[in-house]
Amino acid sequence: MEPLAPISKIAEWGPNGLIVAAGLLGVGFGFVLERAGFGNAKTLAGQWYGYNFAVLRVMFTAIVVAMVGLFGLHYLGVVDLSLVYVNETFIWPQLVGGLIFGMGFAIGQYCPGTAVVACATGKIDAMVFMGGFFLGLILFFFSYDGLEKFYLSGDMGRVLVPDWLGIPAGVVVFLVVAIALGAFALTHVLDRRFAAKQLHRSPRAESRGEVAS
Amino acid sequence: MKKLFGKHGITFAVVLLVAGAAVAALSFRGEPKRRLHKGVSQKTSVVKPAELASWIIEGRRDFAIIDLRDPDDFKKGHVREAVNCGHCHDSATEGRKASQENLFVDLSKKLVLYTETGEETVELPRALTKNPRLYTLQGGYAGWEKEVLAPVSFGGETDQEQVYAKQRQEAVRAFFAGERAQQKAVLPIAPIKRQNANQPAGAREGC
Repeated sequence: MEPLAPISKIAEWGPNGLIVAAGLLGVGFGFVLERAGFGNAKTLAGQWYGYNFAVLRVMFTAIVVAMVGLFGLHYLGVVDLSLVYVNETFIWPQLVGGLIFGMGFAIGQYCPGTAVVACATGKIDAMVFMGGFFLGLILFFFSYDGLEKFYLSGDMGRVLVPDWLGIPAGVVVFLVVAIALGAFALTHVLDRRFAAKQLHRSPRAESRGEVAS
Repeated sequence: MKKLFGKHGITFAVVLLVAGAAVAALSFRGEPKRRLHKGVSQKTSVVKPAELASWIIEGRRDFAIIDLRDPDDFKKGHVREAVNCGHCHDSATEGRKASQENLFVDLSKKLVLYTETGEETVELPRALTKNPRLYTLQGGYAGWEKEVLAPVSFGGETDQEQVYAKQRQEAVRAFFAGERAQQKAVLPIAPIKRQNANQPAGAREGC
């Protein structure tokens, strides 16, 4: 069977078609994020403080569904994975970048995508976050000459986990699915415990006599 | 189980687990066969023989050429600097061995692949499919022979541009054939007459 996807490469839409498709997908993605409650910093903060793991479950679900679909369709010959763009790995700058990203996320309680969604719904904290985001971009631009050597260090090319571990990609897919299911079960238990604790502490619950003894 | 995943979560978890197991089982069958041209069908991924010839002449080092034909056909003739696919290896040990024999291909470079006609269905080695910058030679080796190695027939040129084009073509052919270029270009254009016959030869106009 001839591959049918990635459509943008097989169908050769041209740059204008790709921009339109990217715009539509971006709006759709933003809409889903907003409807899932990810336009609210309190929801996102929940996973760091252990009172709401919805972000982890939604994001992990999206990842495993996309992964199973993509690799499954690849092995069935529908998707040509070699045509799917994968960011090249520059290990050292990406590790440092990941730490900076995580710090920004923990301080601001937004990641870039959710910050844009929150801005669209008029959240002032997200607008301030976006301001910092652009300030960081400008700083990076002006300091690039000094950072360039480090920015391009640790070049590993296009590396995927299965190639790196030397095992079939399907096995990695199955392992990630198992890890995701374990994470879902654990966070479900944690959420229930937190809800029970809140019920225990709630004065209204005490007045109604709902507190477990 | 209900306590762990909730009421509807169990169904989702089971479906996901079965799908994951199916993907794992499919992966043991190996990579799906790919038709060479469909696999790299972007317009930017096809290189014309004349263009590839100019890359080689310019001495560019950002690409490698891989011959996907039988080793016997390769021995009879191949694009200069091409390496036969029999020497493309997934295993590091085989790769090192090939490297020692000076048959190593740097797979992180842009790769130009070719078959006999460019239309055959070829199962690409896994090491090659990982490279996102795959190019195919338009018309395959037959196209290379026709456009680059075929003798240039001079005569019938109607303007200077055609003469220059044929001379370039002949120079490229001679380069790859390891010969001296033929100087058979015919200039059918009448000799240019001087505008001012009284002006002494070698005088600079406008001074």
